[in-house]
Amino acid sequence: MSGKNLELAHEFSTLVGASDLLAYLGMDHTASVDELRAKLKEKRKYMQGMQSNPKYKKQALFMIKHFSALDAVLQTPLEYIDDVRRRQESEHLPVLEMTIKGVLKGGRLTGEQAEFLRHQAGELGISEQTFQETLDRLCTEMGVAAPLPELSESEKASDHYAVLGVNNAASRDSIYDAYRTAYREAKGTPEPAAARSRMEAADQAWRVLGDPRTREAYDLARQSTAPPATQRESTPTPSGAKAPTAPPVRQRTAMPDTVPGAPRLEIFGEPVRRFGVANSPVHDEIRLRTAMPMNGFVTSTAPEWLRVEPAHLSPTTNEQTLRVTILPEFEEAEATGAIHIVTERGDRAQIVFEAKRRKIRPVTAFLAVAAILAIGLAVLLGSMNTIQGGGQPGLTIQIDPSADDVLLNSQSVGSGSVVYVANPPTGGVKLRVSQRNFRTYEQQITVPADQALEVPVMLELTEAMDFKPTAQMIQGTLDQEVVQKVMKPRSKAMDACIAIAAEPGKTMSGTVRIHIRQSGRAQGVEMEGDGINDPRVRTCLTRQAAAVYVHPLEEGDYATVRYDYQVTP
Amino acid sequence: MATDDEIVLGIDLGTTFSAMAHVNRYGKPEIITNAEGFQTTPSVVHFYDEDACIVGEEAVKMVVIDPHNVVRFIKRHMGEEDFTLDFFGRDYTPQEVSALILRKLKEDAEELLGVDVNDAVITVPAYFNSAQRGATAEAGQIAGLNVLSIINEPTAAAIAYGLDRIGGKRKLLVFDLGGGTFDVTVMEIRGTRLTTIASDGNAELGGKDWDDRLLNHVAEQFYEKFQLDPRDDAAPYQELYERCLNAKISLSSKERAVIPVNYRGQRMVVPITRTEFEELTRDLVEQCEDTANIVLEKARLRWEDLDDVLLVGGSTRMPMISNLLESLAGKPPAEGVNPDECVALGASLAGVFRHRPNHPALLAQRQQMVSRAKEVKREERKVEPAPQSAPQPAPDPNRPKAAAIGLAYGGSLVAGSGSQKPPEEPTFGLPGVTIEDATTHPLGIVVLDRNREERVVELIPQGTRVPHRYKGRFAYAYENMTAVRVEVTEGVGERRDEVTVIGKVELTGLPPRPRGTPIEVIYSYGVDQILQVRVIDVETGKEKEAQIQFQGGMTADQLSRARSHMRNMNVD
Ligand SMILES: Nc1ncnc2c1ncn2[C@@H]1O[C@H](COP(=O)(O)OP(=O)(O)OP(=O)(O)O)[C@@H](O)[C@H]1O
Ligand SMILES: [Mg+2]
Repeated sequence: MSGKNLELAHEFSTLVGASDLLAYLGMDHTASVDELRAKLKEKRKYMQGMQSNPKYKKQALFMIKHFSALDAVLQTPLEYIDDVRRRQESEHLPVLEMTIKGVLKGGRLTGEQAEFLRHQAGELGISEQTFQETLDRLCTEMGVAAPLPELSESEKASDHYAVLGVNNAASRDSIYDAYRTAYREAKGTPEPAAARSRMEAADQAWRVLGDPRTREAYDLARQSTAPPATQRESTPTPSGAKAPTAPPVRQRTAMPDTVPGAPRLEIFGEPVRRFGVANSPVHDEIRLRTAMPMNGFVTSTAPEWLRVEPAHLSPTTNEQTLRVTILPEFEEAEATGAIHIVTERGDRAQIVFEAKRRKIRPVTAFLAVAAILAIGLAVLLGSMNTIQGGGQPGLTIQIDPSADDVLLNSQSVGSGSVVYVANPPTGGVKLRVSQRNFRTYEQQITVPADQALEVPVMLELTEAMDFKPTAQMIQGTLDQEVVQKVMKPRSKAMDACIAIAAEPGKTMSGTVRIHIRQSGRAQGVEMEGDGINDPRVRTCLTRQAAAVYVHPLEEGDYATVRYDYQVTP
Repeated sequence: MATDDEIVLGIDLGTTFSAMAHVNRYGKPEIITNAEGFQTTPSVVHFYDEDACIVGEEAVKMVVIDPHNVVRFIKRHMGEEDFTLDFFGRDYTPQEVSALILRKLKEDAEELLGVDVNDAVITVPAYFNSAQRGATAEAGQIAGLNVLSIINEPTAAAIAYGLDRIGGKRKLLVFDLGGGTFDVTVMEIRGTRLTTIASDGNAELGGKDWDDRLLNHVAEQFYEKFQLDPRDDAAPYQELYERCLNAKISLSSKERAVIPVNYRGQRMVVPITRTEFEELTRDLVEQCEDTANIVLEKARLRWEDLDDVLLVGGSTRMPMISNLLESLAGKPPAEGVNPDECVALGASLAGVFRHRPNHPALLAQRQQMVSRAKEVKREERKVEPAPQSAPQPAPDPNRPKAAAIGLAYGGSLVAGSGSQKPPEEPTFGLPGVTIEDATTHPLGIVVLDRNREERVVELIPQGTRVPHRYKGRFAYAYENMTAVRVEVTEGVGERRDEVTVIGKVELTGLPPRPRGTPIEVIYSYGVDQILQVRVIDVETGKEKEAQIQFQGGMTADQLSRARSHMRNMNVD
């Protein structure tokens, strides 16, 4: 299915105000592909009669024009549903990522921390599946062992494969089909209580088996509670029949213990390597030896410029060489990245690469931080007690005496942001909040021992606030003139957005930053200043920002268009 | 080959109403009434079976009963890609739906005139782009018509209006606000030459927008009272739409109207005054005003410079529009023009001027002019100054020249019913008129600039008088190229995705040479809005020529299939 079709389906759902196409059609996941398509066709015919109706014109025309795209989307509903989920979560994902990274900086992940992160994900409206995906990805990137998701007792107890009537080697797609059928059959059960419990069972089975990671955890859990292998072999599953309690597919090879004390993963050469990079790529090698042939992953923390091949250890040899390529694609003059090697036994090694270059691109670190600030800001501290928001707004929070786990979890850096103190010291803490252009304040908080604490941050603008328009309209590699041309026709509309919240006679000023993505369209918008807290203003500005289009950027380029407003209604 | 007096049907294919006309053997354009006996036919199609539909008045009546099988306002979608409507399992393009309307017109004309009708001139809003024009031509082809040319609606209106005013030098503003489109055009009549000076418009502004404002207003009132929205269901919506449309029309002559709403067992009568209605649609009127001012600016004229303001299109009957024009121009708009008919009349005249150079009426006129010229000369010698007594009563004493040549045939051109009867005392003769249109969208070419980035360069700007020829030099962008491709663009913008590529011409088999090797490109834009592109390799003299016609988006194969399907379709 093409991304364009998914994009159109998303656009259409937004247009009609439905969470997704299925909801728009008044159907749920139990509907078959044919039913969905027939319903869509019916809707299209209905919309034909509405195309001159001013209230429905837009959606009717959209439906008529993009019918085939919507139809194509419904032909692979699982893919579509995943896409919808990802879209719904994408807004908050960077916040979660930052939080997870903050935790992982400590170099380990305890079960408690994982639970805390899961809770955070839930708060942000991020599904279990995405949370797991993200956690796994970041764990690999940062070289931290990722724990498998914890399953509840009831999740572990029932035989989900049997509930859905599938083989334990079944693909995700066929599991989904089976789930749909099972759910439908359950729904049709005449006795309501039985129907409900069967439906719940099907749901739970899909929840566990639909996500590769929970499925793996489940398979493992089942394996450990299953009868010994010899016994299992004596009762082979009849071929063709569905296996009710079959062993998990992904068997792990048993590892004989190695000589105690001998290194199980050995890297030859420098652990930290420095390179000067001009305009062409530089190559290097990592030679390594494992105690015995085994599986493993090799990842780079900066795949844009630091590449490594292969991405897996070869399970047939215990000595191998990895090829490293350093591309001149890093944005700053200097960059640091690492290559992580993790074996299936959990042994790990890290080789740090530092690359330096003469040619300096006109870039500041500002963008990276700003992009995150646009949505929220979250940093978890190990033993430090300062949170640096970074970038322009520079939100600083100090907790005194130092608390173990402090998290700033906010929708935007502004009034109402929340500081989360997971392990406050007994006796109370002092919170000191400072941010440029806002009044610095201190707050004394007494906390009952061992209790988590959430403290809202109240930010108040100082009089000295200075948001005067700057000459520097844009950061990045775009041409000033282009930006002027693009923004000029938009400025009036943007001012009108701000005027929504204006009080007569009072001058409103502030800054709107629009981050441009590779395609030349807006990726994110960041706003600060008067009126921004009004949701109508935000929506209006976001819509304006979404319409900004400059020409596509070259690879490696980036741009932030900045609009300083000053509106006096 | 058509004989000199074979009929050219002039068709005004409108968003809401269509009309047709022909020029009779005396040189007089006449509206052809449809089978129901009306001067105009609603552009509405009702599909009631796989291969059967009704067009016109009867289809309008079906809109409340069978809303999902009735098509209205199809003109708004002409030239749109991916737009198809499904009726009884078959997908119809806008071209095909329009073709059904055209077929009804063609068949009604044949019945009334008792002869076969093949050739036609179809009008489009001046602001239509080439895809929209192409789609209109395709619709004609599917309907089995031989489309001789596609001409601009304001031009047609001006021909019809200006025919008895030619000979002098006059500046004319045509303000055409129809059911779905809006055009403002400034023209000049100079001798027998009719020239478009500037034009602008909005292909998506028309009476329908006024209807919608009223409809939304009423629906909102109803919703406030009952928390029910009659727009939510197709049939009640259509019913309410009809009522709002009627109310709008009666507000053109009356101060107030009432709109009864009946939905899900709830009733309400919404009263509306003309002032309220004008308030609801103020910004639409402002849009019209802005466009008119822009066009004048483009023409470098002031309102005082205009000799006439011509109102075309049913929506100009609304007092808010005629008042606006009167206050802008400082004088009442031209009288004696029927806004519903003049476009079709002008189209039929243009058909004769362009495609029937030996029409008997034109010949007769030429003879008359020769003899009159002699007469005038003789009289001039006797009396001075020039005689005031023209052979026909002069419509305006300020126009002695117009009187001298123009009024060759009797009677007014227009006036609804009057145009139906043949002139009592037929006067032979029709003066030949040369029509000079101007482009409404710039034409350009895709090139690589110094940094080898794609850029669109405008070769024929908007507002260029046609016919027009552009000749320019381009060069090899890379070394050793063996072929060059000219991509012809339409629209405003410097980037390829801001404009539309309407055609490509490739010159291949060239010897490899260095960067900068010259290539000549010639664009010739003809009166029938067909672009001829010539690409010449200067050094070898090798060249390639191609015609770029409007493409409505259908391939020859699709067209012929559509034609055969339409032939089998029952059109009532
Ligand atoms: N007396 C009137 N008062 C107000 N509006 C009117 C009146 N008579 C006709 N109209 C409106 O005029 C429009 C039809 O005008 P016309 O027939 O000139 O348009 P058209 O040729 O179908 O459309 P277009 O030229 O835009 O393609 C309709 O919207 C109709 O409601
Ligand atoms: Mg019209």
